[in-house]
Amino acid sequence: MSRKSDAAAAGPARSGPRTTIAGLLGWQRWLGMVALIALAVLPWLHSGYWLSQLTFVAIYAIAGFGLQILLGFAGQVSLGQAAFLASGAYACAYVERIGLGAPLGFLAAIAVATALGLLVALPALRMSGLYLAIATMSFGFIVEEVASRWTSVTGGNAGITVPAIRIGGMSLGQPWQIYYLSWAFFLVVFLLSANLLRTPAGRAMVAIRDSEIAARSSGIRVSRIKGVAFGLSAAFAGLAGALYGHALGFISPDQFTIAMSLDLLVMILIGGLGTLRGVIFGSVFLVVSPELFQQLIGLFTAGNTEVAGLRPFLFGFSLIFVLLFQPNGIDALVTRAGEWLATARSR
Amino acid sequence: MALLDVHDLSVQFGGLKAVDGVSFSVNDNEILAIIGPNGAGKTTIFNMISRIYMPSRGSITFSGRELTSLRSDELPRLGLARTFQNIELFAGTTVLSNILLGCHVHRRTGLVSELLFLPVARRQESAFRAQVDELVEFLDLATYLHAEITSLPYGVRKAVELARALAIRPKLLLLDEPSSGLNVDETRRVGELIGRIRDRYRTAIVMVEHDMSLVNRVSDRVLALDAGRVMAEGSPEEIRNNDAVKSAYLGAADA
Repeated sequence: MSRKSDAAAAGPARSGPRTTIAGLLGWQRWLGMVALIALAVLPWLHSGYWLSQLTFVAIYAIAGFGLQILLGFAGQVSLGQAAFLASGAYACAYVERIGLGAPLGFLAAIAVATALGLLVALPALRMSGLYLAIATMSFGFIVEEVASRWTSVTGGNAGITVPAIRIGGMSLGQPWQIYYLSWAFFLVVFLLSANLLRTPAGRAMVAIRDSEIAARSSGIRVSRIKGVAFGLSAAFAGLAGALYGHALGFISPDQFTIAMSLDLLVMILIGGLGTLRGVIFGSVFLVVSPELFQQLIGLFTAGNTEVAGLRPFLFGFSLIFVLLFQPNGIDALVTRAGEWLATARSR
Repeated sequence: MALLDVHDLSVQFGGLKAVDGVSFSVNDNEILAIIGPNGAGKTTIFNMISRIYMPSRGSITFSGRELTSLRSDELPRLGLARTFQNIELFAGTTVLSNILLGCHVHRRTGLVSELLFLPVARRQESAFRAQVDELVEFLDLATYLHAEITSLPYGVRKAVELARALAIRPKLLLLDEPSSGLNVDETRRVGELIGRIRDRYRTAIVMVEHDMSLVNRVSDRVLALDAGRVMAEGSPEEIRNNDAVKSAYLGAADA
């Protein structure tokens, strides 16, 4: 019954720019398909630097979906996401090193990170805005400190090597294998996030972001929904952490600092706050843009000189640019370009 | 027994007795208007019923349950919905999402089945959607279904807020100044709408309202407040002819 009535209800609203929206949908699906096919065949064409960079695009995007749920949907800021990645990475490495295998390792990563996320949610329910930012940042420092001192599990500041993933007798240690694994998890997390957005829990998150008082008077239990947002956000970050450890083969506390938390934040702000596509654009930007700029500079300076401080400069500058001129990020830019293309084509 | 029973309700802000010993009741399917000059305590009573303010004395019984021991988010599940004087919508999203939020109290799925979009979640979404379509048609909002709230005129936003409250399928609807910000023509239509809502959704309605023509037209009973106390209660006609009410309204001019 719903499909017919959906179409009927949507009819009047869309009757004006129907061609535009239809064209836009077609255009999005088309772009998504091309991207997926390109990602699927890439390992056959290339096995070097960009393959591992694209692995990190997937990993950052997984953590980014988590932060997007927390900040973009539920409106709760976190400057401590790196701590959830760290706990996932260490939990997974530990479980695998004591010989329990990768599947249990990944489960442990998600479980430990989720538990920490719910723990953080408890005090976070009473805070918002700047106070929440400071509290989550402090949590990040605590986990970093624990990681550097709990030597029996984490190897302390020296770090630990992460064994190659083994499932049964099969080893998944090759870069292309990690690449496929990361993108497979990316797809799963993307679909889960998309489902969240179109069902009650996700709508409730957006509701408490926009008006807590109206959310309450619509029967939403604000504390529970915030807890779900923190838990999911941490779970995705924990999964990303486990993949991160395997992609690098080595983890140490100085990888999971406030800088990583800020990278994730900048990523979703530049990509587009409150949209899932924004996470993907942001992740591509985060991983690819420093490299592109480095090469661009190389063209002019005739050499491979590493430019110190390029990354923070680039991200800081881009962030200011986005906040001033394009508050909805790359996603809004791309959407507008897509709309323009669709109308141009339909003319 | 009455649907809503308010007894000896009082609240104090510092030294100010904003509401002082107010009692009234509302029956099933009844429309009660609460009137009174600014500062009489009308919205404060609403905020106590909907558990935003804690009363310092008195009781509020709804469907036989004492509300003062409940959280505000537990009320919609009992069948109590409200709108706000200054409109509280989820501004960053569409009309559709806003009204769907009203369906949240009818949620039967857990997080896992929602994340996986299992058939049970899918069926629930289409049931919610059918309910939204029905409300949207009733309130003439179909053209705005996918519009962002921020792009809508004030009158349409009020209708969206009303639709969200009706999606709760309330037994009692609290309307805080349904005509505020509307012109004469729109106010007349709101009056017709309130009567139609009561008939169609079988709900009792309590409204705070300043527009006396609207009050006279739609309400079964009127509660007149002044300075936090009940000044008079009766049919619209009785209230119109009540001397205390007349002087309070005339006196309000120089207050």
